[in-house]
Amino acid sequence: MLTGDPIFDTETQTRPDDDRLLAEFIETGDAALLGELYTRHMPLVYGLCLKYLGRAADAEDATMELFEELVDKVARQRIRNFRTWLWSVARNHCLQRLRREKRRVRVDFDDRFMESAPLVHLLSEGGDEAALAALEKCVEKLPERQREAVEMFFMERRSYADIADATLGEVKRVKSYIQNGKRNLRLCMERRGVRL
Amino acid sequence: MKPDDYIRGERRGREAHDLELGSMGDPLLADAIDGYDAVPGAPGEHADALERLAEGIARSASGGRAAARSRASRLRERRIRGWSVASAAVLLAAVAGGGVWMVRNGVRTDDSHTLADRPAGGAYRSEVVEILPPVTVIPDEENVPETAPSPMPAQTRMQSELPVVAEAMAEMMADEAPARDTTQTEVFRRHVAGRNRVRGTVTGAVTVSFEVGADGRPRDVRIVESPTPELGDFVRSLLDEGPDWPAEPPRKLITINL
Repeated sequence: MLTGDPIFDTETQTRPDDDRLLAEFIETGDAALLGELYTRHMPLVYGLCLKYLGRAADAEDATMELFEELVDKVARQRIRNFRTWLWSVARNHCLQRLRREKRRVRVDFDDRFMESAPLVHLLSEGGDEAALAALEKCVEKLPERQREAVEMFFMERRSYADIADATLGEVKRVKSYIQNGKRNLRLCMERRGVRL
Repeated sequence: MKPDDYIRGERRGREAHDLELGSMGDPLLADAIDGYDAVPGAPGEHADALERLAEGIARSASGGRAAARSRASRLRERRIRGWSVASAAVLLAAVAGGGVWMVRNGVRTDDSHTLADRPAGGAYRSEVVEILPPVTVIPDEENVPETAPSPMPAQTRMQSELPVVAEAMAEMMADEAPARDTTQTEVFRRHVAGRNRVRGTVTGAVTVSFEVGADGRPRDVRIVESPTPELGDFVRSLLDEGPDWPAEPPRKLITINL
């Protein structure tokens, strides 16, 4: 299931044939098509359920329940990006389940969903000269640890674990520095008149 | 690198970095990685679960829905039947004892909106299920904002406990934020309630994201999930006609139960 499966091609989040499968299912109502589509993303849905529900058995149940609800949901909604839509549906399903069970689980509502793709692209791939010049100034102004983490991740292309090793820190802290660094970079760029 | 390699612990090298970079624009991948990190499981546990799920989905998709019902669905049905019998027994005992009492489970009758179970009989109550806290960052002594002082304590980690009760959220925010944000939350909830009374009886949860301009007005409104296009349009009108929003964070994601 997890090996050799091209669903984890992170360069193409929703594959073109995801759209084709979805369109065919909507047209024909053939549940096997929806099953194939869901199965492609199911390991990630399961992982998401692990995150919110905290228990493997609950995650398994929730993943199965989601599929059973998918037929109705797909029919009722206009879906532009299946994977993003699936993320939203799965997350809401878990949150509602927690609410029904009156379980209080601490979840960090970070702004990952609102990632500034243009900023990430600028950091990792480069771009407009003026924007790059502004970015360079803003990176210099970052607090030391954020700057270090941002440079190691985006410019040197090191993984979180590699950066943690190099800085004698923890992966969680590295992620935090990068997340906060990106947020501060975005604010700095906006103040300099560069809208991302 | 395949995500399963990453999930199994191969976290170093360029390929791991590329996966992590990819997850920044892919919330499903990002949440999944977090989940596998948070719940490592026993050896083979997740692989076995995924295999069972694949079989269950295939059975369900091929028409064997009854056989593929989840364990939770079956447990839930048994629980409902059990509670029905227990409830009937309690009621009988109460009547026989000459007393009747109402069990209130989080339902309020004033205008403040709690997360109550939807009343029966077609009545409805609008509720804000979750509002993203204005700032959610891990305490980082170096995260000194370079902007002018924000009304929100930007250095405070605000984690939301779920299920989120609107009033609990307001209280939490009030402890750490100026009254302005609490008031804004209340104002929006009341606005939703007022409009909802005249809207209709279609119910559902609508998730919407939007930016907040310098003037506090929502813009670039995007309906992330909605049971019907009409409910999504209704939420758009709620935002268009509703109160101003605090400027930070600049993008918000909220879910509204109607």
